[in-house]
Amino acid sequence: MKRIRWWGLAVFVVLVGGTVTLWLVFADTLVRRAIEATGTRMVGARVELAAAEVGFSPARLELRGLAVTDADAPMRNALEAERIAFDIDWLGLLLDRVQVDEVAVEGLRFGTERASSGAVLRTRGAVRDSRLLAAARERLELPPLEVPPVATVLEREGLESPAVIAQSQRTIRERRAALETRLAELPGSEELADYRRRLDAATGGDSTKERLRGLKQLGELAEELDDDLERLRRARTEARAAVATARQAADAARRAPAADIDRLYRKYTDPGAVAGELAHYLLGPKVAGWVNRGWYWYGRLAPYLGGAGDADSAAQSVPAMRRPGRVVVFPQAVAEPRVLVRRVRISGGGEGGTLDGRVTDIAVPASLWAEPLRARLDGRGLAGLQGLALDAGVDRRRPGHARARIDLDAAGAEITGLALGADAAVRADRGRADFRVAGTVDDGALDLSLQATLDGLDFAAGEGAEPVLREVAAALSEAGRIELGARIGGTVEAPELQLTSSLRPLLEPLLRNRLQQAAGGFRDGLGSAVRERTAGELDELETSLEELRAFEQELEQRLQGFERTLERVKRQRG
Amino acid sequence: MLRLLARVLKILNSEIDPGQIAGAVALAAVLGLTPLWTLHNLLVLLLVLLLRVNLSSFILAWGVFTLFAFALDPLFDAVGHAVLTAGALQPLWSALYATDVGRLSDFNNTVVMGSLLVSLLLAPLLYAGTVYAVRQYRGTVRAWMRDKPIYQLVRRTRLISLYETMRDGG
Repeated sequence: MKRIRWWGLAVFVVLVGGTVTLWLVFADTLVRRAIEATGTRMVGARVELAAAEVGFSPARLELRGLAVTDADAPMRNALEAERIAFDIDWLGLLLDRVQVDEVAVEGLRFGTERASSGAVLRTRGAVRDSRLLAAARERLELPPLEVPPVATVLEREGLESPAVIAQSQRTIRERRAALETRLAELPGSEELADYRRRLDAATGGDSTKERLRGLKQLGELAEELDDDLERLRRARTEARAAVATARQAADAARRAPAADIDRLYRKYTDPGAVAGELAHYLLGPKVAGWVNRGWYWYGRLAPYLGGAGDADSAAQSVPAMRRPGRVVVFPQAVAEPRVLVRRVRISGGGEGGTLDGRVTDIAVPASLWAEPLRARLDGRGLAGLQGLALDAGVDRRRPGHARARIDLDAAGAEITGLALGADAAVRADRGRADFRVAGTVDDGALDLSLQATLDGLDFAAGEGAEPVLREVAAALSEAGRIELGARIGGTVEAPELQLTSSLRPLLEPLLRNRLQQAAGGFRDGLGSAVRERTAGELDELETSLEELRAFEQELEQRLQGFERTLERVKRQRG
Repeated sequence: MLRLLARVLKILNSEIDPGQIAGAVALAAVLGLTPLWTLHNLLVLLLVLLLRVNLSSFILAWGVFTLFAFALDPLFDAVGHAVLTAGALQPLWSALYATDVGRLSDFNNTVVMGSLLVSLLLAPLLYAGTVYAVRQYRGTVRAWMRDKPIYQLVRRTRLISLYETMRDGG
């Protein structure tokens, strides 16, 4: 019987050949859909491609009409590119390895209008939900711009003094308990009476023999008294230290109500402090939004711009995408990154503007490539932006570590619909801004600064806004220019935002008269209320302190009694 | 299910060489137990078409082994992970990982490695076992069963009429 059926080979060739032919025929569509799906997943909003052309000889990919929706504003594109072209290595792609020498990106434009929304199901809240600067949103409440009644303030604000007093009370009680225990262990009045009895007995004899024995007993007595006195002196030193600590705690407790009064008085009546709060109310959400936006894009793109440096251990398991199971990586076998794009050449601008730049050394994992990722972009006369200069980099060459830096200058950015404050309390329809962002994100530690100058702004308060916000809008319009600075520190998990702006001196005069008329009465009322709340606790504290002092005095008396007895013993011994 | 059983009966009662049935079962074990879209399965497909194995048996057995594969995936994962992370084998895997064929084969997936190892170990046993079982069935079991009253009972059932329809080319 024949063991081979040759028609089977023909069927195999037809099957494999048919599959390859089908792929070749539909390659353009398959690539276009793959890019759209992957891009949408990366960005969190729709990514569209007008056409993809796959060339096989030479192997080349050309993408036309790429539009990436702005996840935060789905009716706009974050960027649009007319043409993207690069050479590809098909075998490398099959092996999950991408190596591209140069990518040409032409006709790049930012912030273009979309005909239809580019939101996908997951887009909603994508930017708002990022964790960075969530803390900044806690101060979205309009600060009180008039002096409120004392009762309202005390209802709204937590007093710090009760906690300080309670802590002091705990400290004093702990010291008192320790001293009490120590006193119980020390020789007291019973021991002293016993010493005196033994002293009388030792000095009461008439015969020579009794006197000699008495002298010996006096020697022993003196030694025992010395030992006890030493213990008492050590205890006295400890007691003095305990009393000193307790006094310090009591002093802090006594000062606490006054500190509370000062803090609240300042917060509600100092025009500078209130203006600072108002400036934060107006600018905080805006700055937090800008930084959030930058962080959102960094977070979205970072995994694709260098990976997590996953090539440092001998073999690692990572979840497999395609099927259950895990993929074991053998990094020592891979001397080159899985993805390497040496250079992305960018040109564009549109509407008479120019935009030129390059991104170099995109490598995944980045630890297998000698150069860090770097991006440089220069633009002039762009739509809505007169000048742009960006120099940024991401260094993930050390496995497990990432350091990103940014230096961005933007000049003459057109502002439309600038809304300040929560609920867009104050708005300006149009204006211009120059801003500069610089800093680093080093393994999650933030060190970023933002400087911005906004001018040519004509502000108006929203409908139904409080009268004071109308005055604020008028003052801002009159000034016509706002300088603001923000410093973002802390970590990605716990960011800290410090805001400075020219708003504070601008708003201070506006608030001064309004606040200071009622300030005197407010201070008196606040003082009475705070003292009333803390008086009982302070009295208890004083009582505890007195008890502690009484222990110290008792110790002093014991010591004096023992010293006098020892003196008598020494005199009797001659 | 009845149709499946009838198909099995038809194959067993035909004059097909037991080696052809056994070859089909052994190859089906590899194709069915391992993930479908892997490089080695292209070779299995070539062998199935090129070698004179019984295609009906192959398709039947493939379906059965695929069902088993779902249940056995955790076992394959564990076996594959143990083999791929075994210290002594690291130089081998690293060398294979550095080659294009190695990367294309997906050998470093724990399920691929585990299921391929298990199926390759099973294949010779399945081959020998199937040859033995078919010969036993045709030589003794079939004749022995025909004498039993239960066979007469089963003969009148739908299973046998289905089998007869298939045998007669229906």
